[in-house]
Amino acid sequence: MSNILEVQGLNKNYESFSVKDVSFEIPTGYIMGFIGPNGAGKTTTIKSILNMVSYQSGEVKLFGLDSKDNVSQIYEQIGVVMDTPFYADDWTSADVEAAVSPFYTHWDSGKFAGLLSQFSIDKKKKVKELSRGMKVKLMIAVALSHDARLLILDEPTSGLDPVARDELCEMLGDFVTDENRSVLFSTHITADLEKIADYITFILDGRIVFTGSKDSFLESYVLVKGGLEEISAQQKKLVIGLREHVTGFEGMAETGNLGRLPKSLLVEPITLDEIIIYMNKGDKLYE
Amino acid sequence: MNKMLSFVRLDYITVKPYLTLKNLLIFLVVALIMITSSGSSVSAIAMLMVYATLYVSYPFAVGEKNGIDALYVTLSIKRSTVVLGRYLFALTVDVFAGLLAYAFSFVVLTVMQKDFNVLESGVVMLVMLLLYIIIQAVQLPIYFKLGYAKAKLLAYMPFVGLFVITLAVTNLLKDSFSLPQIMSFFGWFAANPLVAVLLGLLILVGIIVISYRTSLRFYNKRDF
Repeated sequence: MSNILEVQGLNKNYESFSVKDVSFEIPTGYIMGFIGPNGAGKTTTIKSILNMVSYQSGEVKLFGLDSKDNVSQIYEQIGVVMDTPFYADDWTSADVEAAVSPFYTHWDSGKFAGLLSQFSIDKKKKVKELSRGMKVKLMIAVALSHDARLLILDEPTSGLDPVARDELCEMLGDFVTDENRSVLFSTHITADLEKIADYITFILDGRIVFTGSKDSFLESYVLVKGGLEEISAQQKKLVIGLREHVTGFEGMAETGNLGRLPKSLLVEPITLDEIIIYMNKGDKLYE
Repeated sequence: MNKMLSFVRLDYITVKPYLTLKNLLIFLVVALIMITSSGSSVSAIAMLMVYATLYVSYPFAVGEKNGIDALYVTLSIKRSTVVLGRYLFALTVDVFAGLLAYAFSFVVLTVMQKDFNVLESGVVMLVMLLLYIIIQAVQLPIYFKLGYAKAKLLAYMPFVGLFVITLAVTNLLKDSFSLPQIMSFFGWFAANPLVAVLLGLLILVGIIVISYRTSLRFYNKRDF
């Protein structure tokens, strides 16, 4: 199985924030969810991958090629969808096509027109007159019209209603039916990823906490609940993001640590959202 | 080269929504008033070229507002192509504006049945063109360094700077040399027009090259 994207030891330092030693890879044909709370370093990592920001060290390989060389060859095959489109507000979809199409050798005008029609995007409307959902769809239409093999999406679903989010997830699912294509989908709305992601990379405070299959990620942690008298001070240290209240406590534990916790505790499966919340809390707890 | 021309076209598409007929008509009417009141094309040509050069900063303004620099990256446009393309776009705007102003003055004066001084109008157009190329050579690195919002006030400095430099040089010449010496200096260039043109071109190209390299150095350091 070849990798469509490989990030190795990426470091990007700002005055008040750093992305440290970020490494992960996306196998061809799969969707990877890139998760983490706001400010964790998702956008910085994505912008580094895309060379929108310069990074201090590390290596990014796309389609097996170094991302800093072979620029034209690489970007031809990437579709980028950010949280807001980088098209001029006053452009119509025709202007968008006129602006971007000369730079893609595989641009398909018929496909673009078909996608605009499929997405019900009014061709006469300016970008600023489109709803958030429509703007995301316009970016996706551009990405799909130049035959991109890798879609990189940065928070495309924030601010979208559930129907639009569901449509987008369906589109991404369809996109990877061709097993030469992959998706890197950054979001903090993890419910979307629970449905469609095959792999998860979790970033927190600029460091990768986990990267691997979604199933193994979800199986790595459990939700534990119990009475305060059930757990010793030593055992509390095994509970990530421990929250105590009058009637007891709750928190997240590594599945591997379950044997070291009392059997009387209530153990439940955990969601991606909960993992992010508890990890974030746990991180602050252990500072 | 293909990407360069596509980039110039992209800049045109970026400013196109703001190239409205209403704006053009306003400037043409003002130019018309200038021509009819003075009977000469000089001020009208200068004014129309000022109008056009305003558009040179529009790609920076629109680009910054909408994050279009990030789009250039996704379109695999090299930063050197962006910078050189922007210079080419500015030059295209200046030349087009000069020709439009020249043609407009010719038409108006012909309709008014007044003399159109072909040489004088041509020289004014050329001088204005060179002047704006020099001013933009100073302005563009500022835009590439700071972006439109931070640079827009500073970008007017070359106009002031040029005025101050002209004044200073004039005073320096007046104080340091006698009138016959100055006349003889310029007289030499008048007698050797080819040398004067070549020297002028050399200085102009030098200014543009320094400006381009400075812009590229600044733009290479920008994160989007």
